[in-house]
Amino acid sequence: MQISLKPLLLLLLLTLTGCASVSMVASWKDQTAPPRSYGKFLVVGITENGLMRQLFEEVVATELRKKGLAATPSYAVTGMEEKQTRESLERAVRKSAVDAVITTRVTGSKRSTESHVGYVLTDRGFANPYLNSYDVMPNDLYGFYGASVVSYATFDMKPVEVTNSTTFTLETNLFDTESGKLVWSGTTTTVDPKGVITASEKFSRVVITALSKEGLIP
Amino acid sequence: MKRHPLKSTVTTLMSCILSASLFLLFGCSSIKVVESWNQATPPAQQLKKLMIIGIGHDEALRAMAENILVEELRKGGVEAVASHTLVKEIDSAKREEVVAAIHSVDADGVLTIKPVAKGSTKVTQGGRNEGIYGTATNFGGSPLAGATTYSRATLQTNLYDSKTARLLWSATVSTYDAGDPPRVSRDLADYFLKSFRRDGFL
Repeated sequence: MQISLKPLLLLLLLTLTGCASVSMVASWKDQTAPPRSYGKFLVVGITENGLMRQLFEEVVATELRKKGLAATPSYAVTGMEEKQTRESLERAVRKSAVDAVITTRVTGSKRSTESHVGYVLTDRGFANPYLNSYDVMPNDLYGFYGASVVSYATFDMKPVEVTNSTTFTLETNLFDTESGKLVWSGTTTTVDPKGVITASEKFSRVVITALSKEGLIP
Repeated sequence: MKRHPLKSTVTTLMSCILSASLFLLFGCSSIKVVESWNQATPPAQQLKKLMIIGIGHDEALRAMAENILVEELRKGGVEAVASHTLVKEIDSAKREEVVAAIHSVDADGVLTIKPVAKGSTKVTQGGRNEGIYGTATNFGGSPLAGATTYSRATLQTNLYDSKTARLLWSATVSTYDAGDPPRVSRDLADYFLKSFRRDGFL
């Protein structure tokens, strides 16, 4: 007898990845740019939320370092009080002596709601008035579940389940610091992120895989 | 409606079942770690003194939580300072003011706790809540019915190196007992001590 491993693998994958998922929905690479592999990155999270920025940049930098690449979160160079501008980024690039800048910003969020309609038990009990007496009613908890004593039940058709999911769309750009040109761009979606740490870790892995496939990192 | 002494027994049983379910779900701690992250390489020198900053607009709650955290951390052998003794109204305080306060007490680590979400969760036990003994129309309901509302909150907790202002450690923590800040603060302190020691920050 042959046993299919597909359901087991799927289960294992779901266990490992959890509910949230990150996927690369579109990417582009400048084919005219000379082939080059980058090793030193400045990680920039473009957001007005300072806490999110710090966490995102640190997590992405950590994931890049795990691949043996050098990575610096931009807030560590620019400081947190400085508003993110082109000038502050240029200063950070010069200061950190990196060969590539990876910027990410949220370009959209979409919330979807799904309702399922079904029947809900609203009441059940006796239809026979003779049984409406304490003398004949069951005297323990289990008696209530006796099928013979329940002679009616009412149901209402109503929404019984509402599933909300939130999808965030992120745009990530990779710039060559020497030429200042955009060399790669990718759009990712994140569905139901558990939190910024988990989402950033998963996001980093997807982007690193994509950059690796394009030969932009070793 | 005629009541029966068994009603109180059933109510107690119902409460026990709900409590047991929550205990099984969350253990004996009032907090649950949603996610966490830390620098792979801890700073060369371990942190000796922490400044505790509770970020929020409720100054009384902030003071209480900070004081409990300081007390619990001290019990665990870590020196800590409550920020409310140096900086009032942290929500509107300027960054320079906070930085000056950190340096004034020579804190080498800064621990921030910020509520990022709050709400309530209703835990419902299936069935109906009417008495066991009743009229024919409500007779069929299960007596093991009930609902308890739990005050829920999500906290973002960060540990910074005060010299470099770099984030060293971060965790998102949720609690189903936000209505009991002293208990949550004590559990947080316990979690911080264990995590910081494990990750090499203390």
